[in-house]
Amino acid sequence: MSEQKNLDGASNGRLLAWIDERFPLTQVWNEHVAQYYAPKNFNFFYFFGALALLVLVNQLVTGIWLTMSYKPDAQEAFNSVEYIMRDVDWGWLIRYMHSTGASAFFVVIYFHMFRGIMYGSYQKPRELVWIIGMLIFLVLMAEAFMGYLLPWGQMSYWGAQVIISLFGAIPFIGEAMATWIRGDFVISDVTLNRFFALHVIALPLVLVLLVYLHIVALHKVGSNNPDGIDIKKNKNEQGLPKDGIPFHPYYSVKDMFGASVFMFLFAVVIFFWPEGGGFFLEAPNFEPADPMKTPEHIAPVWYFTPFYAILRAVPDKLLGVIAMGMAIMFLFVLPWLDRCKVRSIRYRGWQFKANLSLFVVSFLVLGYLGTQAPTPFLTLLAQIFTFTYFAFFVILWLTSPMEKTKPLPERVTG
Amino acid sequence: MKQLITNLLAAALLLSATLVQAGGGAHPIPLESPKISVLDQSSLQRGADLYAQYCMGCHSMKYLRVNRAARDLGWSDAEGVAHFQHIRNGQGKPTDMIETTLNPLTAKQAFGKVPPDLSLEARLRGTDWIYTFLRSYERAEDGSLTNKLFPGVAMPHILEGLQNSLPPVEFDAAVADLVNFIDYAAEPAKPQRLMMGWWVLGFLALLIVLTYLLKKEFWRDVK
Repeated sequence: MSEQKNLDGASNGRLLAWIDERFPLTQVWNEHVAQYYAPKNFNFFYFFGALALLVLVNQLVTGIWLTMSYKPDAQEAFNSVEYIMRDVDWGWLIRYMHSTGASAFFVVIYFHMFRGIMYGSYQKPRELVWIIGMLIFLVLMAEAFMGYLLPWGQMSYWGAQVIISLFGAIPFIGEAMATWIRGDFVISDVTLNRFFALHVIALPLVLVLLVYLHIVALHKVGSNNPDGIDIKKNKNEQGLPKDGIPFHPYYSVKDMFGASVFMFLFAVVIFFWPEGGGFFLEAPNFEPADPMKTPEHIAPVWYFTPFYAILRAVPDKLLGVIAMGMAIMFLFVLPWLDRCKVRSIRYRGWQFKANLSLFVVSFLVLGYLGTQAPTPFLTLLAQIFTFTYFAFFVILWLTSPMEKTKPLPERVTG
Repeated sequence: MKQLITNLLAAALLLSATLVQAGGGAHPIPLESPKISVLDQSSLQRGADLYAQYCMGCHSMKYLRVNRAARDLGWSDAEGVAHFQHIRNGQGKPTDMIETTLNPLTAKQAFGKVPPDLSLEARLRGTDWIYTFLRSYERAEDGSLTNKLFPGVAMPHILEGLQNSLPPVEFDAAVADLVNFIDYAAEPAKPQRLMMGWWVLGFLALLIVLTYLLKKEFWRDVK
């Protein structure tokens, strides 16, 4: 008891010293939070990194609570989700937070990636930050795909059936590989069980590790900013960047504000629009999976539809799968495709601005087309925008060395 | 930069407008929307009675428990059992699910298929679809029955007697109550969700103001 009484300011210092001798607590805190200098000119787009972390925590916590009542069993899975929605105290809220969280994760990540491309955050020396981030994106897609099977509704089942059958397009080993992934000749109880294992244990572990590495890599090279200039070039007498401010408290309070706004929008969806117009929770998924009944129109969840549209745009199945893979792989090598010395769109030539606009439009249109049943006209559109999607990377590689860039400012602008 | 954002927002708006339009085109006749709210308890009560009277003979709601529905509709457990009397031929317990006593084999002989469970019908097809469907039966002069929204549907026009005994406006209102109950049954937490939502948004709005002021205060010395 007497020890507890002594836990005032002075003995707190002694406790901290005791810990610091055994574990670099103060050092880590200072290096990554209190004395991590970030550029002072972060704008709107710089909220999304912290928000991604917030959504990750949301998914982990709500996910843990969902597994307490969910049953990974083809006979029971659908029932157990309804059990969560109806009989578990606050189960509906936890489930909506998780299902809406999945969509929110991709909204946030797509903004985050767009920011990186717009301000050249992948350029030297941040190539590894970008590549680790792309790996996170890849694992996140696998995580979302496997999680989507778990409610065992019609769209869960047939969506997984379609996507896994894609592996069958690989010559020679494809069919065997698809069977190996499913553990059966069709999606079945076996598949559900292994997807559950991967969704709740394997992939989250990988995800958390990659996020850690993403931040370690970022803090080694320092954050980019909307001007794309290096703040470490301008230091004051103490050797601190003139345009930098400590992450804590400046950006921690700013991110709290961003998180509040985000949570407000998130709550609007959860409480008043949980199906998200059929994009966050698809109507056919309120019917239990039925292997004997194929839905009229199978579409993946919205965050996969741009890539799905690319897959369908190519007439040959194998080439379609390759195109879909390339659509993601090209993003990985962006740091080397972009040969411009200027990072930020603010000081780059018209070529980059036009090219990036075309890329964003292509991505959005492909996303829309992926939700629609194919018609000859829509397929033609998908082919055109698949072409412009890939053209972005080629044009970037060709035009970036000869862009007429504007002079960079000495110090960051507002 | 600003222009790029504006352009992107415009593109996104255009896209979502197209999406909304694309959603409505797949039905043989346009869907009509009932004016309903799961917060209207008396409407839910009337709908539950209609369901027990006209639907439950064939359609289960296997995910909805009698006492859960009773609690949300403002009835005691005993009243709940009474309102869903048909269950177990009057031997019902409050903890029973709302299940039909129709034998699946008999159903198959009579209708050619087993009537579907309606627990999640409102989320599967939407309330507009159910509302329109129930009001789209037409009897031709030769006595044959068609449904304009769902041609060839196995279900008979179960509400025909009700439709013939009520003025059209009152019939539409009764169907709306029924649809309201089916909507509630698809998500019993919905009334709670809608009411709680405003408190959560209010709290978060306050948090936005506070965190904004906090940010402003901390950032005063950043030049």
